[in-house]
Amino acid sequence: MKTVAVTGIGALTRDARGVEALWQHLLSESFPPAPPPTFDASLFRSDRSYIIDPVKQQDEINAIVDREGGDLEPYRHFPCAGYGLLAATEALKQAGVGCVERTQMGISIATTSGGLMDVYAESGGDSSPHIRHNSQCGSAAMLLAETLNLGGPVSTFSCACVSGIASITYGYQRVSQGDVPIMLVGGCDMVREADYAGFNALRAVSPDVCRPFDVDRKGMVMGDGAAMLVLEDLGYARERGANPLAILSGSGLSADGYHITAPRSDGLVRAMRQALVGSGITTGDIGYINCHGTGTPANDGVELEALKSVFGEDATVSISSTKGAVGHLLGSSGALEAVISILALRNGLVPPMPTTKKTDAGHSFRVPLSGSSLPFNSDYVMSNSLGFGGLNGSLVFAAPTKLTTGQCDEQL
Amino acid sequence: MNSQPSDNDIVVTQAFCELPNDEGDVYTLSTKKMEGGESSEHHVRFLPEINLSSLDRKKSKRHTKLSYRVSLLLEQLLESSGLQPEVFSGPDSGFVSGSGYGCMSTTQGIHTTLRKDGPRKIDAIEFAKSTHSYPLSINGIKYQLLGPSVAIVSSEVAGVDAIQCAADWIKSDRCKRVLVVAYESFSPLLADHVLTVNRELNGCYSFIESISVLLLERRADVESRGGNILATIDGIKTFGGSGEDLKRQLLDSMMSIWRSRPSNSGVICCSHRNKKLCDLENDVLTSFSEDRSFQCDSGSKQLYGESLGASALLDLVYLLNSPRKSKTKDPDHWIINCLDTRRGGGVIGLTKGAEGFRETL
Repeated sequence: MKTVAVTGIGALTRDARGVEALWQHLLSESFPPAPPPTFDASLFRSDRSYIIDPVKQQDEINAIVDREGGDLEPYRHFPCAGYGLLAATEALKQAGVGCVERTQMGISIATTSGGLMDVYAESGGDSSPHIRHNSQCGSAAMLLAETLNLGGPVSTFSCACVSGIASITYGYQRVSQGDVPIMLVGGCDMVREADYAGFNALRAVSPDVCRPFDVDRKGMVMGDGAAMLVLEDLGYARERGANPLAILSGSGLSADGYHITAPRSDGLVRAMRQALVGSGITTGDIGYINCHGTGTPANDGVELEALKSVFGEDATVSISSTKGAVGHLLGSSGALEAVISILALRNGLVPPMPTTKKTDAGHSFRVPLSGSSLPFNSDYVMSNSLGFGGLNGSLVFAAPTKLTTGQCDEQL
Repeated sequence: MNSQPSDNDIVVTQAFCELPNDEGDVYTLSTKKMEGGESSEHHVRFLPEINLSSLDRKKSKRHTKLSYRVSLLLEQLLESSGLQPEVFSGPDSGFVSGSGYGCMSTTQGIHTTLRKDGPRKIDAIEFAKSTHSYPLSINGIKYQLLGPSVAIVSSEVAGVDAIQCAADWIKSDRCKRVLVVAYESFSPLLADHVLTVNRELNGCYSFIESISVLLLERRADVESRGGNILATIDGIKTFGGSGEDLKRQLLDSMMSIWRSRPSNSGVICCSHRNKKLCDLENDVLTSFSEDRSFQCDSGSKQLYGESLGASALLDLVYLLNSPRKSKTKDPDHWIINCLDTRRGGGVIGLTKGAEGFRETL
């Protein structure tokens, strides 16, 4: 098995273009949710969101497509793919991926629907060829592969909010098994009015803000955007002089087998244990856990229960959810939170949860309440996702310093 | 063939599918060709209609037509496998699906409601059903499949990706067995979409809805319980690229399946509806046959029609289940080719098991 390094990361949220801006945004605790710019939400239970105004991104998307020599037209109709392109180019740049690497690079993308079929569905079949030919669930990955001229395999995962971790795990398997030396993985998603209506119907949305793990939490706030990671064989990375930001040391996937919309803790417990075993570490090695933390009463309670099962009733590891600052990015949430986990690992800091004032009793985890970042000193972080149908995913990232000389030599 | 059978081989122990029959509806798109004014008709054939309202209330509320169909196939598979439900349920069983269009037919219904009746008429349960992983989740709950569970929607290669995931999970001890489902399910609007795109690509096939289910396990586990092995998976490769790059990658992938080419091998050709891709595959097959001949078969498409993301697995089920449907079923070793209209593809290599082929299609 090859060691899988993360050599590039990229992100786009409503309030942050790029990972540096994202990190600063998380530390700043500013920018509350606002009404969606893409549809009228006044009839809904909530009209709050972290939804991006696609018009504001178009110039930069145009510039990238122009530079890469791609076809701009599809990106006008499918902003989801454009968001993915923005995050992807940032990750590729940081990883120093050039034309040579791209010929072997595969892509594995997560999305829920990303609005890829909606335009066609709403046109009643009367649409332009650009819309028709991209009206498939896998079109964002395909467009990115075409625009960036990626020569490796192209895959798309759509399994609710676990999609991001599923797509990253698939890339991890391809690289660790030596099928391809380098993969672009992550997620891009766009909140459609139908998603907004659906989560409102489920009464899963908060009328004001998302307060993960707060005693007064009332639900989630939806957002959209993208996050991408460059995963590569450590030996391949070293050979071309790329700098590992982190090592993806393990991943876990599981199902609860319980309920379509209500989670249960045992599935997440198994996913976390799988990721820990795959990483060859114990719970004491983990310094921070980026939780799914949607801010719904059910999710956060179950997640705490699962964390206590794995880490112990008296565990004091730092936990947080970043959904109170960026929203719930659906299919791309797992990828964004993986990026945030790596940023936290590299900075040794858990950003504050801007909307969380007082957490549930009955646990001893360290939680960064509003106004207080939490420093931590550890070489491992974990990122968890839960999705509809009781699907669960867990990733563990290690600091590059955890690489032994032996591992480096073996890879080279 | 890579080597002698090994305990760690990934093997197929069950394979079933559902195909359209004469009772199913057909959607037709007539095309007047530009040259010569010739007309042609292409079709989408649907699976036989299921009336969910005739089921008990709990079932009819819980299922979509698609998830119910998957449920029926799983019932059939479980019964045939001889595995006790208590063995089958639990964290050792994973579940993965592959489909080009996923649950878009359900999603489209949400859009129609939204536009016609407004956002407040969106039903929470119907919304949950529009998730592409719904057929997996609802059946995973029913059968208590607690291992890894993901839904893949990678266009025409989705089925190959799904079987790749299953092999990954078994190899890396994430679980002992994986149910692999590949399907395409079309609403009339989606059928029109598929045919319109096909017309613009000058595609030559008609399309079908289909569902295929496979059970993948490790050889040692099957042998320890005295189970039958339908086939051993010799290799799975997915790749990208277009044009000459795609041609090279397809050939390399086919060559990589067996270290030394077995004497009696065959290829289930993709025979892609896009003529350029079909020609590309033919060039690759010519190169592939340079050192040794092999048999060629057009797989399920020639008999039933194209099923997009479900085609590769349908080909696999076809290969394992229908000895009398084709005269070219003699070889023990097969490669199934799959190409995506836009980019890349995948190949699956397999060797038939001692039980050989069955007649269930």
